[in-house]
Amino acid sequence: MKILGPQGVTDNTWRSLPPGEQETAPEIKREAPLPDGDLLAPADVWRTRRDALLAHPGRRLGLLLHVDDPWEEFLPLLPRLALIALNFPAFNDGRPFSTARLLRERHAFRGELRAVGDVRRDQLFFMRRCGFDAFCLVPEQQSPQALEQALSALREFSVHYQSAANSSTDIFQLRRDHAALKTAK
Amino acid sequence: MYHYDQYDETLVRERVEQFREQTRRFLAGELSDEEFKALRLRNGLYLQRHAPMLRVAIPYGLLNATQLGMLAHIARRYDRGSGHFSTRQNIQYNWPRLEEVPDILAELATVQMHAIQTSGNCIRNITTDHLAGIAPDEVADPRPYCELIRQWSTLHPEFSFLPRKFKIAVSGSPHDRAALQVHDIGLCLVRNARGGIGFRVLVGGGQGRTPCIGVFIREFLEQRHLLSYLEAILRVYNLHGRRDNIFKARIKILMRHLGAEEFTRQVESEWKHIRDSVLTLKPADIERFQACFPEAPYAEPTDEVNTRVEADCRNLRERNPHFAAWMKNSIVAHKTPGYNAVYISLKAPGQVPGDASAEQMEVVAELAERYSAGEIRVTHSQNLLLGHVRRADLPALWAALDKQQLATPNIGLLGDIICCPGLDYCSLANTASISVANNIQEHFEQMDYLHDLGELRINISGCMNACGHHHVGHIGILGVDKRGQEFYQFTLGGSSREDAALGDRLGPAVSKQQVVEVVQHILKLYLELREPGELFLDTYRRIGLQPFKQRVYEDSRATGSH
Ligand code: SF4
Repeated sequence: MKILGPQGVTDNTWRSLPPGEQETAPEIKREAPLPDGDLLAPADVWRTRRDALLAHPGRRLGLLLHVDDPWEEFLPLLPRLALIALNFPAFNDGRPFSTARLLRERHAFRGELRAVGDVRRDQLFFMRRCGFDAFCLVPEQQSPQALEQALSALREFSVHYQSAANSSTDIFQLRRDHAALKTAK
Repeated sequence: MYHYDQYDETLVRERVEQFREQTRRFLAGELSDEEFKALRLRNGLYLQRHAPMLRVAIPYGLLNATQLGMLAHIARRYDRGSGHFSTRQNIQYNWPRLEEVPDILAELATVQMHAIQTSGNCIRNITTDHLAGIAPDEVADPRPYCELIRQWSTLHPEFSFLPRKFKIAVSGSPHDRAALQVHDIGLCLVRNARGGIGFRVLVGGGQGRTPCIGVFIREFLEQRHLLSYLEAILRVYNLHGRRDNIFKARIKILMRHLGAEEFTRQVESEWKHIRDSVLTLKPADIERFQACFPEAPYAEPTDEVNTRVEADCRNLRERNPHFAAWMKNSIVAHKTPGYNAVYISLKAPGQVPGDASAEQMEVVAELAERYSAGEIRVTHSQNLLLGHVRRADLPALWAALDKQQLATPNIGLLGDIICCPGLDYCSLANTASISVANNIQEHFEQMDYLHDLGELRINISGCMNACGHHHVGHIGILGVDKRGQEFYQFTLGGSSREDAALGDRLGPAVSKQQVVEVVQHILKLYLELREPGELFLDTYRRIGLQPFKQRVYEDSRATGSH
């Protein structure tokens, strides 16, 4: 899978752990050694194997959140997370937009915020404004041409009314600046 | 009225280009039906029964003459010569071609108009009182706040994929002409004990299948907190509103599920985090928006002129009963002496309620230019209004309107039926609501004239979605399908005003042929039992449903069998 991120199109280097329930019995799972590399673990794996995950200080860790996961319980973990992946169960499910803003704006999460699941070109602009900085597009939009198009989707608007999680200035502020400039002259 | 600055213009232009590209990708097969649907709806484009339907936003129902001229041009060039004004103060075109929609949007952009968020699961066009800024009973002009909310909600990055559509209405007056209580959010401008302006905030009203009167969750919100509070409400809704069942997805359901108290607690606790943030409006922000809605250039007439004008009007009234009827019916008080607001009825008998031809639109645009500071308003009862007419100009204005069948004196009366497009255009419809409206208008024209029935609101919806606002009609009529036959369900006693109420179900649905008869029974009973000065709604509230039920289903056997 290709990831569209701050550095453009890159390969996904993260290894995803399957959800706990789908693995073998919990006792065995708890014993099994974790694979090497950067690990992206779903919420339930974080719950059962938290210590093992945190045992290697050098390893980069990620959390995959589904829309129904009670994500607030992972807030204490934020400083240890290099990646949070928010899953869009459907193109038109807007919940992760709110979660993303809260993670960025209220809880100051500075790692990579990745949109996964039903992620399509035409949501990207909104996603980035809400604080996502990496996007894993659906398989049918993974061709080089489609990824190129997706990049252009991020540039479709040059202005916006709302201040949100990305740093660009909103129209209300631009107007205030403009008015201040006029009085200064 | 509000004029776009460079930022507004840029955004709308970029939106047109974005949609042009999306349409191209759809037509080239690069975008699935499902994906395109979510995108086109955000630009007001439905794929309907016969052709696409395009809904163009008229923010809070306000237009200038140039814009109305453009709407006429679009009706002519891209449609079949007319447009339909909706109950949400927008306009709909029923025959545009999909490939041409990007061109239509580009033309609209040249007069600072768009179709952004006129549909889809997002924050829709903000609606308000059609007498905003001119009503004598107003606390403050709601339009600057409507425009603020319009901008804040336009392409909101967080709230563009809500569980369901979201409607916000604002009223500047304690007399509610904006149907606040049946909106997802209703904001009523009020003054607190210290004279400060703020909002009374209502949440969770709505029509549709599960009609609800909203609940006031905050008695006073300082105006600077307007956007942060809205953001808090929307965030709670976006995160917790149901998404598994389209019929349970509106905020009214979430609110009733949590209970108003718990819902309010969640909103307030979310708000605490953001109330003093970049969302806080500065006094200069509010002033800037207020300055966009200056008073029309009123010239206070001298006493001498006044006396002459009143004498002229009186003379014409005596000589011309049509003018007299229009003066009595279609003229509204204005806060400025010597001026009136004037309704333009789009409910001439036999006409589709809310429809206007390109020619009518052009004439109205021209009359607005000549007589009303170049401004036109769309009312939520699907009529138009000129807001700033000198009394001296009323006779000339009447003559010009009358020529175009735009002076039917039925505003607020039986003939002024609110009606959704129904089977004629809407793909969800069960029934041909428009023909029912026309039958009623035709049949009762005389009765109204003879008996002076007074204020009477008949609202008709072609299906449970309630676009014709039947729940809040004094008499509500809902079209239902029974084994392929059109039937009609009556409700009585609804209101969308400050005394908001949902109508009570009269009894079993009746066949299409019986609709006129049932209306007749209802009105006859009202005439028999009304006390002096009582309007239909007053009588209904006094005597209740039972006498009407009895008259319709028992005393008259014709309707009893269904
Ligand atoms: S009420 Fe039903 S028939 Fe009428 S416009 Fe709405 S969806 Fe269509």
